[in-house]
Amino acid sequence: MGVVLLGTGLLFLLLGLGAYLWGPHQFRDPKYWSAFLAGRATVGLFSVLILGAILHARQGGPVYVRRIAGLTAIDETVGRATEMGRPITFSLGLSQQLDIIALQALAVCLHVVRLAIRFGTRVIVTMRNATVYAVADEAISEAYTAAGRPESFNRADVRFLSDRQFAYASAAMGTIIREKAASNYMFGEFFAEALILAEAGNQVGAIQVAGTPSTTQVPFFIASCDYTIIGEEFYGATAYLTREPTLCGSLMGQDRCKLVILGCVLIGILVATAAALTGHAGSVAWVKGFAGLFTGAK
Amino acid sequence: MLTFPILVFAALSVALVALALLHQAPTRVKRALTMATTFLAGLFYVVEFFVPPDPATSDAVVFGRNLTEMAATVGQVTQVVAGFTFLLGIYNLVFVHGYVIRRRREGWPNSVAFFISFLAMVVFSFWRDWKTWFGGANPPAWVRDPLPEHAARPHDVYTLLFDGLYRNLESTMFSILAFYIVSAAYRAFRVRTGEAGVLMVVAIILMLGQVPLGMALTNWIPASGQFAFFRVETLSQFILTAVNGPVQRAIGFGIGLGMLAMALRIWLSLERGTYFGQEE
Repeated sequence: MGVVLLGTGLLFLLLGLGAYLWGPHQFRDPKYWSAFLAGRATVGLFSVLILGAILHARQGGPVYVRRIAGLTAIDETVGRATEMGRPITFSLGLSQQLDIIALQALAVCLHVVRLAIRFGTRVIVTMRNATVYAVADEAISEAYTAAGRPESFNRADVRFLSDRQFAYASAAMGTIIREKAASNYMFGEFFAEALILAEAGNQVGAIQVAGTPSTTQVPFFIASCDYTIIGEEFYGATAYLTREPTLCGSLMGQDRCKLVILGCVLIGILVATAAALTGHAGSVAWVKGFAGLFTGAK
Repeated sequence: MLTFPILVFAALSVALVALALLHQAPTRVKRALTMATTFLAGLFYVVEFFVPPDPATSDAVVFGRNLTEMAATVGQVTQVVAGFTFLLGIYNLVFVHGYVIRRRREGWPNSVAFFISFLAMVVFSFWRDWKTWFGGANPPAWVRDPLPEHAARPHDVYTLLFDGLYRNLESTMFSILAFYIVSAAYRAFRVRTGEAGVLMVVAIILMLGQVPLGMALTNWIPASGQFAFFRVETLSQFILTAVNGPVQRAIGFGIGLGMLAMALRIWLSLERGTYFGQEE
């Protein structure tokens, strides 16, 4: 990983030097570079850290992932549905397009589906976006085929309900209650309808696991679900469930990026405190410039 | 006049032929094509982001091509794809509800109601705006109310269906939340541990700080001075901005890094096996 980082750093240094020596005049202006680097430097650095960690994990480097109760409970909740003879419902959230959040929710959904196929349990997957439906339908159908049970796949169990928020919520609520789901999963992007779906699950006595990067809905899920997966645990779910080296390495890379952020925060706190105590104008300007690297703020 | 339909027909024909050829191709060719397309599509946005912009326009320009302007056009491609997939969504709805009606499953009258409302909305929406899109005669007044004095609330079927029925049903669903919040809170908020106790106290302070009755409880504390901090609205603001705010930002850091990591994995096709097939 050190070689990757060094190589990437050298490459950018050479590019920058070449731009400075032979590029247009703006490349010799420090203000231009500080405005250009704002935000881009962090994205570049974090990308390199994450890719380096993935390489490290793929080469057999050790990776530890801490226990996450909600994800460990997924196997248990699928088993519960099998014992009770009732179906599982899985909501892929209300993403407006096939974005990162929807893809991650679909990845978790496929893990649940593959588990449910082994036990012969029915999974009803609902979604709001038609593009997500197109991908989900194909992916779930292939999961059944790969498990050797293509005849068990019921196309009517993958449902595009509506692209309207509360029309989707009422349809999903009706599905959960009519089908008397034993386990209800809600993964993806949610808005005001989150509590409606969760309460519908509570009405039928379903065990519920929710995972969303939408911080505004996390409190509602915590209050109404048995297990809640918060923030970046949502993005680490596939790594936790599959333990694939690529995914675990990616998780490790994210943790390294967080260490960098933590270091920058500590440096910023120390310098800002010193600036406030001494009133030294240079320190204050330095703090602002340092913060500007991340935000572009002047 | 005929150029546009000919172009559309030609584009559809080329697309169908390409799809047919792709369908016949071996799996490894399909996989390689998918990886290449994903990489090239992502590379466009990476180059647009990292290329030093023109200081005059702040746009990324490479070999005379303005990538920032092109990005808006490229983004519209996703909207075109979404338009096609919407038809798939409608097909799914018709398939699911048609299956329920054909087999007379429990609740089949609800599926009949779905078809009636779906068709009604489609017919009256198209009829109402047909002239705007395709020309022709004005729709009848009961389909599109032409009277200016009714502009705020037209007296036509479309408004009855959308504003009169759908909007009110939407508001009904939203209002259910108020009752669900109470039931969820009553069920979940039990002070069994120290942390739960702290949560309860903080929640009470925050709620009191939002309402005039709560603020009246600490009105007797001077608004300025060393004890002003203990006014409930000040305490509430402090908790929101100095305690809750940084925590939200910390969660946001993790979410942002997770999104970056996943975007990189998808762009470089490192997620193979998660959705389709097994990782080799």
